[in-house]
Amino acid sequence: MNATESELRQRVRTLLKESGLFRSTNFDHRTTANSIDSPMLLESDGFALFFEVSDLLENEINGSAVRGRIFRSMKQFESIVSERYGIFVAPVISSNIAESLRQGIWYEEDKAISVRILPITVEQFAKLLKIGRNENSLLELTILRCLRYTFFDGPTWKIYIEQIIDRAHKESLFSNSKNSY
Amino acid sequence: MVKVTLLSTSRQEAAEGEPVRRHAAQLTQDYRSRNKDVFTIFIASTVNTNTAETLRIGSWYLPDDTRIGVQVIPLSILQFHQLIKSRISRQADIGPAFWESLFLRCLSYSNLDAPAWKNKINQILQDAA
Repeated sequence: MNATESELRQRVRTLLKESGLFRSTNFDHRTTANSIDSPMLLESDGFALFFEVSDLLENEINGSAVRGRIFRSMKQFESIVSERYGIFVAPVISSNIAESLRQGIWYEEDKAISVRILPITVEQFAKLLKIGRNENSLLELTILRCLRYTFFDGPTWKIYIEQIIDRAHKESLFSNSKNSY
Repeated sequence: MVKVTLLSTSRQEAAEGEPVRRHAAQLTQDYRSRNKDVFTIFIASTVNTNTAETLRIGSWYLPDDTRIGVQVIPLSILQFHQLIKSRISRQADIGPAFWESLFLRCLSYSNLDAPAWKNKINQILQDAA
């Protein structure tokens, strides 16, 4: 049975809390508007992550809506945090949502604005947080490495995301074991 | 890899657009087996917008139509000089991790059109300087 969206959001919250990655004062996943559906926001040193979580199946996800909502949330924080990334979490990432997000542009009065959103599965998200926990500086770097491959098509980009997160996860485990000696 | 040109007009794109991507693709392939990413800095007195447009697409196709992603960041000599000078003077990190993060940050905005991308690169470099 598929998890409901609220269950998924709760799982994401739990993973975030367990990671202990973010400063406690900024840890509250406060919504960026007074709506329960607004993206969650999390700030760390020098960058912020904006989360969208969906339990919807492939054809039901509206990529434009995801980009628009994350863009509006990011905009509220542009004077506070310069580096802002969107993280779209779903049980399965469809190639169509990846295709929509990889283009990463939102038009505001015909001005193109780059909205950088990484689509990942819940499992990949858990790994991403482990990467940050083992080697803090690798978290943002891994997101950037994934975003680098948006010039490939949606299905290929998904493969790169999987490989990059796996590689960084191994790298962070190695780094963590080195530090423990 | 660092590529430098003295050209600055639209000749820059004609003379450098193809060789820069081809060399970058070759190195990318060479280093793939070692699991290393390759970044190319393209330095010119002025970066022509058409060159930036060619580089931001970041692709090179092999004869069998396999697409190789090339990571090229176009910088002016002034931008490069100011960045290095400023970071050295304040003893800031200029090690590989700094460069990788800087390049990836610039490349993550390559979905913008060339003029906007050039502006974004300039802004990122100023923040890092």
